[in-house]
Amino acid sequence: MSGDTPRRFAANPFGTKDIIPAAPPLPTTRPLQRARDAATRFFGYQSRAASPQSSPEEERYLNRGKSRLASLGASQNATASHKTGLEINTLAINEKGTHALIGGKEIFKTIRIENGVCAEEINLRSVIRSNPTHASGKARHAYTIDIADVAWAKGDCGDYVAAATSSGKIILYDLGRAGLQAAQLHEHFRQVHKVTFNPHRGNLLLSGSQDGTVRLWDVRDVRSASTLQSKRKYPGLSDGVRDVKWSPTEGVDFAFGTDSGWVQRWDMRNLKTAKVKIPAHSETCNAIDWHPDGKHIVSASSDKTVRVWDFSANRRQKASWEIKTPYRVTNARWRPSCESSSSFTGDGAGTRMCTQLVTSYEEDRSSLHIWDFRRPALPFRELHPYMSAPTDLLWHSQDLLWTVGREGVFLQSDIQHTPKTIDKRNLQAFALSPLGDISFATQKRARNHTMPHRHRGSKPTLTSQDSSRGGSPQRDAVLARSWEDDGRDHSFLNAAPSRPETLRSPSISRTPSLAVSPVGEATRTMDLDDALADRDSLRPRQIAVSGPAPLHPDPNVFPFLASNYKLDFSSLRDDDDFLGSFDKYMEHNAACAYAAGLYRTAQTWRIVSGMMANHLKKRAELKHTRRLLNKPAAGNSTRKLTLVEMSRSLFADVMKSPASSPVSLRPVSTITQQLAQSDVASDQRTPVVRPVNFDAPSSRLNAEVSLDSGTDAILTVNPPTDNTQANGQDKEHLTITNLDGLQQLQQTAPVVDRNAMVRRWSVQPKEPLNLDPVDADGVKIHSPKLVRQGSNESFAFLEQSVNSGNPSFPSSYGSAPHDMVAQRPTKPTKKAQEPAIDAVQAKDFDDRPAVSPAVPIAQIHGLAARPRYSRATGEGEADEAAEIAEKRRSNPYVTDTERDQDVSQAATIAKPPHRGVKTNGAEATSKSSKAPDDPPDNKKPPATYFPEDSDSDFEEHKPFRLVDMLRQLTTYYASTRDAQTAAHLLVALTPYLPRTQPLSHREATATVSVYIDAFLSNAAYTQPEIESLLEKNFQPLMNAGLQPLQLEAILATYHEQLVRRQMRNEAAMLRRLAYPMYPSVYEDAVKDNHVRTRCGACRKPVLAGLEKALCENCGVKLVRCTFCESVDSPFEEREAQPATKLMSTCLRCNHGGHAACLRAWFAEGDGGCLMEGCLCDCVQGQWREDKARLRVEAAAQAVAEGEGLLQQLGLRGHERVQSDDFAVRDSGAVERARGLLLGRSGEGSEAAY
Amino acid sequence: MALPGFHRLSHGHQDLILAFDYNLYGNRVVTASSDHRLRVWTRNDESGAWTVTDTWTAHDAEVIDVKWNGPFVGEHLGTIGEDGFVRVWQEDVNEAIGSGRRFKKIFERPSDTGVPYMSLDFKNIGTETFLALATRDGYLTILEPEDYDDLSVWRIFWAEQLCKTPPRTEETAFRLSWHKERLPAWPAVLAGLDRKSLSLAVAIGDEVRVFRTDRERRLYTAATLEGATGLVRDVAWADGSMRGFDLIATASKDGYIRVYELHTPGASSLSTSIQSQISNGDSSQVNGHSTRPVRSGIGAGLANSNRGRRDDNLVAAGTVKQESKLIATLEAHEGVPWRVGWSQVTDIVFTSGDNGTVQLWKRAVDGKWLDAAEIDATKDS
Repeated sequence: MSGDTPRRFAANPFGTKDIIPAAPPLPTTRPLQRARDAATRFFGYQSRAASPQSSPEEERYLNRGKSRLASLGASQNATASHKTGLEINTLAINEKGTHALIGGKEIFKTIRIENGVCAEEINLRSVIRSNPTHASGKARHAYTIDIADVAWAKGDCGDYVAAATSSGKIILYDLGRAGLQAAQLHEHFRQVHKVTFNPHRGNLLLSGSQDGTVRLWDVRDVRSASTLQSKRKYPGLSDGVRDVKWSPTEGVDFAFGTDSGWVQRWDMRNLKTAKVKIPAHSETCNAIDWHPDGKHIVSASSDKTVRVWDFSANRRQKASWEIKTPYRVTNARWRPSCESSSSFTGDGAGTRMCTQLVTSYEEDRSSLHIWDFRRPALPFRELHPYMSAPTDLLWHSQDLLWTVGREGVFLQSDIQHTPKTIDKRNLQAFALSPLGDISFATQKRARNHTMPHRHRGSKPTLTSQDSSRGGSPQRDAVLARSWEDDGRDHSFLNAAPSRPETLRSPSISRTPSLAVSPVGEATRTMDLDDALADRDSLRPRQIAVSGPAPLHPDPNVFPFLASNYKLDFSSLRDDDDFLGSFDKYMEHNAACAYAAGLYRTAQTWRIVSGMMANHLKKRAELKHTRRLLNKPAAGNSTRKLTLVEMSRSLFADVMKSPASSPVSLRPVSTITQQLAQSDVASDQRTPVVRPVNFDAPSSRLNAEVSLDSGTDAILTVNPPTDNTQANGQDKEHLTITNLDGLQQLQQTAPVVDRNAMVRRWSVQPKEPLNLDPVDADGVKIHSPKLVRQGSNESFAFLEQSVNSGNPSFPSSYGSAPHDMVAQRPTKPTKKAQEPAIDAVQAKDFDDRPAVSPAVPIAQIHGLAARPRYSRATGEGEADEAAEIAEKRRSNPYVTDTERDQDVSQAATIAKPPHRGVKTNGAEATSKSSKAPDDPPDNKKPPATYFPEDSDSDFEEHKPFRLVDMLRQLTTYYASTRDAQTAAHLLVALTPYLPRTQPLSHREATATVSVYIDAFLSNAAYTQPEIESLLEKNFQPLMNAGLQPLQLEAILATYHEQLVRRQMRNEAAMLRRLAYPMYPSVYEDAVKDNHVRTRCGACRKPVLAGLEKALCENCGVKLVRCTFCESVDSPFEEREAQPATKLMSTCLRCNHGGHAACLRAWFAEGDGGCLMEGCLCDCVQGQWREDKARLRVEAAAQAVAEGEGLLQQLGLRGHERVQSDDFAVRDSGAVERARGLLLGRSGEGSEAAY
Repeated sequence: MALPGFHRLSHGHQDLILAFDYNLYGNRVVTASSDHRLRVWTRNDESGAWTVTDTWTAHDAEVIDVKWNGPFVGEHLGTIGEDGFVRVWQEDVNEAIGSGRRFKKIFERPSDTGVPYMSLDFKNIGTETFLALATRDGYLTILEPEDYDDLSVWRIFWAEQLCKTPPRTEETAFRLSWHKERLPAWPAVLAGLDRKSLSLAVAIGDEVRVFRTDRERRLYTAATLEGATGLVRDVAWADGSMRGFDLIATASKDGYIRVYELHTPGASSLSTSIQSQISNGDSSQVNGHSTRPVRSGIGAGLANSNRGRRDDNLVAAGTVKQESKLIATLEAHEGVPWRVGWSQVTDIVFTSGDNGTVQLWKRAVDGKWLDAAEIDATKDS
C-alpha cells in the first residue's frame, strides 16, 4: 500500500473515518492546541510551540497547514535509518505516520519511527512463524511468502495490513492480534502488484494484478468470514495492472496504470467502463499518483517520461505536463502539498501548492530525483539513498521521504538536507574563442551566510554546509523548516512577483455521495494548472553575454602581420647589396609592426636589424681581410658539433645488421650528402630559412675544400628508386672541376627539393590530379599562370605567393639574378640520372610546381627572376630561341607570358620546364661542362654575409652575443605566447647567426636522439637521409646555439595559430619552411592527402578513382576525358608511364580531361572550353580576347544606350546605374508612372529620379 | 567582430546554459543547456552576426558539457549528459539548417560505472582524436576511434578508477583538460619524454594529477599539483609548450584560483639513456600491434589491456617526472569560483564564479598575477 495518498494530517485523530483527509473539519476553537495535542500524542514530544524556532508566523502555518512535520527541528537533520540486512520490496505507512511496514521475501515487520530514531516493533514474520496456525485454527504449512506490496488499512480498520504476493494471493493480517493472518484473498491468478486502501473509507481495499483486473475488497468482511470474496472486479485492458490508486478527493474514484501504458480512471460503482481512459505511454506505466487537487494524475513509465494528465474529463488529450527523465522511471510520488509563500499567491498565504514529485528509476540507477514542474528540465534535488534504486518510497510528510531498498535499509530522508542539483551545476559557463571573443552565461548565486568568513592565506575549512549548499540562498539556513514551498528559492526558481492566482479551479467536480464534507478553501491544494500557470515568470535568471574579451589583442593584428611580415629572407643575395636588402626587409617588418600599433615590437625589429647588420658587416670585413691575406679561416672547429658523428653512434644500436637492412643499402643520393659524410666542415645551409643562393665567394670556398680520392670515387650519383630510366649516363663521376658548379646548385637545395628527395624513398603517393597544363613532354607547365604580370585572373588567389605577390620590393626582385625558384638545385628526380645538370635545367626543374600537397602551387615563381646563367650559356641561346618559337606555336599556355618578356629573357624561360632530364639528357650533359666556369660574379669582390662553420668567434669580447639577444627575445615572446614575432625573428635571423656558440654536448646528444627517434618512427627516412638532415639543417642551428626543439615548438605554435585563423597560404609557407626539420609543423599536411575527383552528378567524391568510370554513390557513368572519352589519351605518348598520366581541369568551369588531349585541343582551338556549350575561356587565346572585347563593347553600348536614354529623358549629369542584361524590366505601373512624370515638367521627372 | 562590446545573447534555451564551446576557428559556438538541448551557432563571416544553425535534444537529461572536435575529419561534437551517456554528433550538411536533424548521433556510450560523466575533452593531433571522459565518481576513460576518419566506432585507450569511489552524495568535480598542442614542452622532450606524449590534467578531489603517456602510450603520473584545500572544481591547461614549461590553472571550492607551472627538473640530464630510447623506439616499431590503425604513428592499440595496470613507480621509456610549482594563489569571486580558462593568445586566466562575474588575471611584469579586468553582466538585471 505504498500507493497511498500522502498523509498530510498527522493531527487528524485516529478513527475519524468519515472525514476526507484533505479536509478534516477544522475545529474553530483552539486549533493550535489540538494540533499540538495530536503531535504530542503521536510523536511523544512537545510540538512546535516549544520549539525555539517557532514564531508567530509559523504558528499561523501550524494552525492552517496540517502537515505532518512534527518531529523536525528547524535545522536539525531528521534523516534516520534502520538496517535490516534483508532485501526489502515494499513499504507502507500507517495513517498516523508513526509506523512503517516493510515487506520482502524474507522480511515482514513494522518499524516505529520517532524523533529520528527507528526501532523495530513487530516482526510479523517471526510472529507468524511461531504461530503455525491460522487465525481460524487451521494448521499451516511452512510459511514463505514473497511480498510484493503491502498496505495499511485506515480508519477503524487501522490494525489490518494487506500483503500482496507474487503468487496472486493477498493476505490480510491483524496487527491487533499479534500479526496473525486474518484472511487470504485468493482471486487473482497472477501476481498482485499493488494493494491500496481507500483513504476515506479505510476498509476498502483495491488490488491490481498482472492478470489484468482490479478487485475491490472490504476488510470488514473478515470479521464475519475467514475467506473473503472480492466485492467488485474491474477489467483492465487485458494487460497487467501495475499500479492502482484511490483518488484523494473523490472517495469512489480510483485509477490504475497498465503494462501497455494506459491509465484509466474508474468509478468504483460502475463496473462496465472506465470514466477516463488515456493511452499515456508507449511503454509500461510503472506507477501513477493522484495530484492532491484530485484532477491530475501523474504517470511514470519505462519510456523515460513522467506525464501529468488531466483526468477530469474524458477526452483525447495531450499530457498537461511532462518531465523527461534520464532513466526508466519505476516510481513517482507527488510531494505533499505545502503552503505557498504569500508573496507568490498574492491573496493569502494559505494556498497549498503541489508542484513537486519524486521519481525513482530502474534498478541500477540509484538516483532519486525531486522534480519541480515549474522547472521541468532540471531536477530540484537529487538523492542517492542506496547503491541501487530504492524498491519503494513514499512521503511521510512534506519534508520526509521514506525509502526502502535492496540493501535492506529503511531510510527516512530529510530532503531539506539533501543537495540541490543546481548547487552542483555550474551557472557560469564561459568559452573563449580563438578570435578573442568571450561568451558566457552567468547567474549570481547568493553566498551562504553560514559560510565562515575567510581571510586570505588562512586555510579555509570545509564544513558540510559549505560543501553541500555553498550556493544555497541565505534563507536556507534560517528557514530550512519553513512551511513554505522550499522550491521557491532564489537559485532554483527566481520568483518574480507574479500576478494573483486563482485559487480554485471551477472544473473540479465532486461526487456528492461520498464527498462527505466540503473542503475548506484554505486547505485545498491549488490546481496544478494554476500553480504552473505563470511558469514563465520563473525562468532562470541566467544571462548570456557575448563580446570581445578584454585585454585581448586586436584580432585584426595577427592576420595583418601574418600576411605582411616578411617571413622569408631567402631571396637575399650574398653580395654587396646584401646589407641594404637585409635592412630593407627588417625595416619592412618593423614598419608592419608599427602600423599594427605594436611599437615595442617595431622597435625590437629595428634594434635587432641594427645589431645584426653591424655584426654581418664586421664579419664580412673580417673574412675579406682574411681572404686577402690568404689566411685560412681559423675556426675553432673542435668546439663545433658534428652531428653526423653523434648520430652514427646512436644509429649503431638501431642498425644491428646494416648489410641486410634494405634501408641502409640505399645509396647516398645527393652530392651534398656525400660531401656531408666526408667533410663535415663544408659549408652548411641553414635550417630554417630555405637555403639561399650561393655565389662566387662561397663557391670558391667550396672549391677549396679538398676531397680525397676516396670521396671522389663515391661521388657517383646513384638515384635509388627509379631504375627504369637508368642509362649509362648516370655513371659519370664527379670531379673537382665540375663539383664547384654542382655545389652551387646542391647547396641551394630548397625545401621542395628535400621534399621530393624524401618522397622517393617513402611510399609514393598517388600522383595528385594536377591542375596544370602539360607540355609536349608530359611536363607540367605552370609558370605562365603564376607570372606577376599574368593576365590570368583565375589565379589571382595565388598572388600570395612568396615573393611574386609582394609588391614591396619589386625592383630588388626584378634584378635579382636568383630567386628562390632558381635556386632549386639539381636533384636526382625520378628520371634524372645525370649528376651534372646545367643551370638552365636546374632552373627549369624548379619551375615545376611543388608536388607536395603541403606546398601550394602558388609558391612557384614567376619568371621575372632570370638566372644569370642564361647569359653565360649564350651558345645555346639560338637553339633555344628556335625551340621557343616552336613551343610558342605548339603551346598556347606559354604564349601570354612570352609576350611580355623581352626576347633574350624568353630565350631562357620560354623553354618549357622539364620534369625530368631524360628527354633532354644528352643536351643537359653536353651543357654541363659549361656550368663550372661561368659565374661571372666570381670576379666580384667577395662579401660573405653568411656564416660558415669555419667562422671564428669574433664576438668573444663583445658585451653580448647575437644569439644571447635572440634567446632573450625568444624567451620573452614565448612566455607571452607571441609565436608570431618569435617565429619571424628566428626565421629571419638564424641563417646569419655566427655558428660559434654550440649547444652543450649533452644537450646536443639529447636533441639529436630525439630527432633521430622522431624521424625513424616516421619510417619515411633512412639513416643517410637523417644524417644528412642533421648535418645540413640541425648542425648549423645547434652550432649557433639555438635549440631546435624550441624552434619547432614556436613554429608549431605559430602554425597552429595560422590554421586557427584559416590563413592557409601563410600556414603552407610556414610548413614549407619547416620541412623536413620539424615534423610537428608539417606532419598533418603531408600524410593522408588524396586528391579525388568529384562526381558531377551527386557532388560526392569518387572513391574508386577514374578507372571504374562509375560513381559509387549515384551510379552515373563518368566521363574520363571530355575530349577523348577514353582511358588513354590518343595524344599521349605510349611510352609515358601510367603514373604520369595527367589529367587537367579548368579551375573556372571545372571541365577537364587528359592533359594531352587538352593540350591538343587548346593548341588548335581558340582557348575556349572543350565542353560543348561551355562558354568558358579556359586558356588565353582568341576566345578570351573576343570575350573581353565583347564585354567592353557591350559595356560601351550600354553606356551609350544609357546616355541615349538619359538624353531622351532630358536628363544629364546623373550617375548611371550599371545593370546587367538580365535585369527585370520595369513593371507596367512604373512605366505608366514614368510616362506621367515625363508628361510633366522636367523638374518633376528629375525629382522622381 | 561586427558587434563591438558586449551584448546580451538571446540564447533561446529554456533553462541554464551549462557549457559553451567554440570550435577551432572560432566561427562556431555550441551551447549546452539544462533543457536537454544543444544549440549550434555559426558566425556569418561577413556580417559577424551569429545565427542558429540547429537546435536539438541531445540527451534525456541535462547536457552537462559539450566540446567541439577538431574540424579535420568533419564537424563533430561530443556531449555528456546527466543520463549517463557520452554522445558524438556529426554534422550532416545535407539536412536543412534549423531542421533539428542536422547533427546526427553517431556514437553513444554509457558510463562504465553507471554514474553520469562529469567532463569530457577532445585531444586532436592532426586527424588523430582522443576523447577523455571522467565520471562523477572518478572513473577516467580515454577513448580513441578505431579509425581516425570515422568517429562512430571507438575503443578504450585507457580506463582507470582515479581514486576511491566517493560517496554519491558528495559534490565531486573530476574535471579534466588535455594539453592541446602537438608537442609537449620541449625541455621535457629533451629530458626524455616521448615526443608524441599525450598529456592530461585531471582534478581529483583537492589535487590535480598530470598524466602523460610514455612511449608505449601508457599513462603515468608526471606530476601532482597540490595546494588546494577544497575540491578542485575546474582545471585548465594553457597552450604554449614553446614556453618551455606548462601552465595549469585550477579553480577550487576553497575560493582560490591557483596557477601552477610544470617544470622539468634538469632538462639537460636525461632520465633514460639514449640507447634505451632508441632501442625501445625500434622495438616498438617491430612489435607494433596489429590492431593499430595504419596511420596512427606510435599507435595506441593498447585497447582494454591497459585497464588498471598503471604502476607509477615503474620507469618506462619515454617518461619523465616533473615538478609542479604553485606560482599564484588568487582569491576570486568572493570565494566561489567555478570555472577557469586560458586566453588563446596571451597568458590571461579567465575565471567565473558565483558572484556572476568573469574575472581576468594577468601576469604583471614582476611575475605577480593580478586582477586585470572583470566583466559583470548581472548588474543591470
